Amino acid sequence: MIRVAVLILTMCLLASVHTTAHVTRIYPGQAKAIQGAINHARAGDTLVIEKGIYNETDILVNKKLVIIGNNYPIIDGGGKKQLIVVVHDSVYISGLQLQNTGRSSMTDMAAVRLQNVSGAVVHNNRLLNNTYGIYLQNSHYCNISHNRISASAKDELNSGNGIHAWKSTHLMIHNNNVSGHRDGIYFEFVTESRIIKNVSTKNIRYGLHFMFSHRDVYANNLFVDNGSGVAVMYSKFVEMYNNTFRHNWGDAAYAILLKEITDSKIKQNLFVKNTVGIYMEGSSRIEVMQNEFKENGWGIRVQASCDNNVFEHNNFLSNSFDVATNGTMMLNTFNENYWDKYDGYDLDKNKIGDVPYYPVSMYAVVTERIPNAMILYRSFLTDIMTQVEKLMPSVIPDNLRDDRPVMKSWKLR
Amino acid sequence: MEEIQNKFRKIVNLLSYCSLLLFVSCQSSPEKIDYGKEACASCKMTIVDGRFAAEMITAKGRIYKFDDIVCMKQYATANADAAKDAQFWVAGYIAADGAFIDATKGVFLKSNAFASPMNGNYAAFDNEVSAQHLKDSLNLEYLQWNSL
Repeated sequence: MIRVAVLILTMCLLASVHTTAHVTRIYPGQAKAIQGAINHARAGDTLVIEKGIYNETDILVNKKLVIIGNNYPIIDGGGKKQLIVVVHDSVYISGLQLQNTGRSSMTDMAAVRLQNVSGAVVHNNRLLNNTYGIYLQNSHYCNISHNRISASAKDELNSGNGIHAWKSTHLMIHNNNVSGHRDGIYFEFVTESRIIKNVSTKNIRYGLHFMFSHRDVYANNLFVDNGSGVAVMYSKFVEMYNNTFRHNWGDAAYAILLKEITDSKIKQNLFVKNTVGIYMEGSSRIEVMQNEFKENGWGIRVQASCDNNVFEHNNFLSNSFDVATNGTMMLNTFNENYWDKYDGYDLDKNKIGDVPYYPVSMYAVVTERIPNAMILYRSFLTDIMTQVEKLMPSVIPDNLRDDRPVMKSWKLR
Repeated sequence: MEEIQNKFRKIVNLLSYCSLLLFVSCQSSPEKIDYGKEACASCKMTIVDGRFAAEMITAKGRIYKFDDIVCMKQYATANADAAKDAQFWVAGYIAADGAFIDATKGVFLKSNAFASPMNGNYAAFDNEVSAQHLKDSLNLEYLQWNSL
């Protein structure tokens, strides 16, 4: 008897659970179809937006919902307003095509804005031609993944960022593809977050931009052809692993610009064909290890304001200048790197060169002081000066040297 | 005879071009910023936002460009020698064509709503009339260059 009662009770419970999780299908045609469905839905419901074009803006998601697009329905802002504003925790948005937000100088118009929420997921959406793509504002534990975000903001000055996060913590941003925005991914006051396996290309300013964001990791990302590479500024405990920086080329372009960064790690990254691999200013206690610098204008430019940085086990291959600095006092350590310009010998066969390598070339010092002197680079006169400097060192910083240059390049990948 | 005249004309032309160059090099008005290409002299970030850009022109005519008004202020304080007798120009916040304003003559508003590149959050206007609307809607006060 009791058993039967329990059975009936569980069935009732199951039935009630079943009734709370509704699936509502939304079709294009009527005005405010999506907002109407949200207003009618109960927490925990699923809304399936069917294929079509929806000219809806300022869609407010104020309850816990799963919003799924069937075959990428298009939500078009017509260049006027924002598209989706999420103000409730644990909202899931997937499979939508969001396009043409407005542009305003006072409010940052975003395709998806997450505002004071936690546990939101924005997955597998297409974002086209928006001012800001995904905008996280004071949000936590959010997952932004597999979105394709692109804009054609070629010369437009007031464009926004692809993924913009402000005052947030514990974000996971992975496998997104961002292009054509101001900054691909922008972090300001964002801590304990991860940026993994994203591709950020052809953005006007930076592929990735960090400001005042501590204890973050970015790994396995690809940054190609951005206006000025990646900027990491005013942050502590940032870890950068396994990223590829390719062709960030221009007068003010750097693969990584480090400004006032401390206690951070740059490991196993690949820097190819950038104007400057790493530019460092006011930075200390950074481990730069097992990276490959290949075919860059400058491998590393260390400003005199940097100290206690360690450069170890890196490969420097075919860079015009391996290292440049504007100071003579050098408080950083170079150890056991491979330098393809090293022409010392290894008589004791311990695979380490017997004489130190001085990675700052004479002409790197000259151009650091007089940038215009670059026009004479690789001229006959410069060659003579370099030879003279080799015989009688007077210009290059004496204590900037690698005492144990390795004879064979490191196998890094 | 004609050949000599021709030569003479060429020389005169050349001289006039040269003098033109002289004038050009002596300019002391702000230079157009190549947005997205040039870097801020203070924070090294690329200048992209025309609403907050600024330029300092030293007494010798060297131009330093900044991405935020606060960057120029900081740079001028840190490099007092270069900033001595320098001119300070700021981009107008609502000037569509990116026209620069003499900082000592313009008025400023400060609000977090501006979200300038380095969080200086100062916006410049050529006079109080053009700033009136924003001042009222954001409930702000007028500021002067010297009091920033």
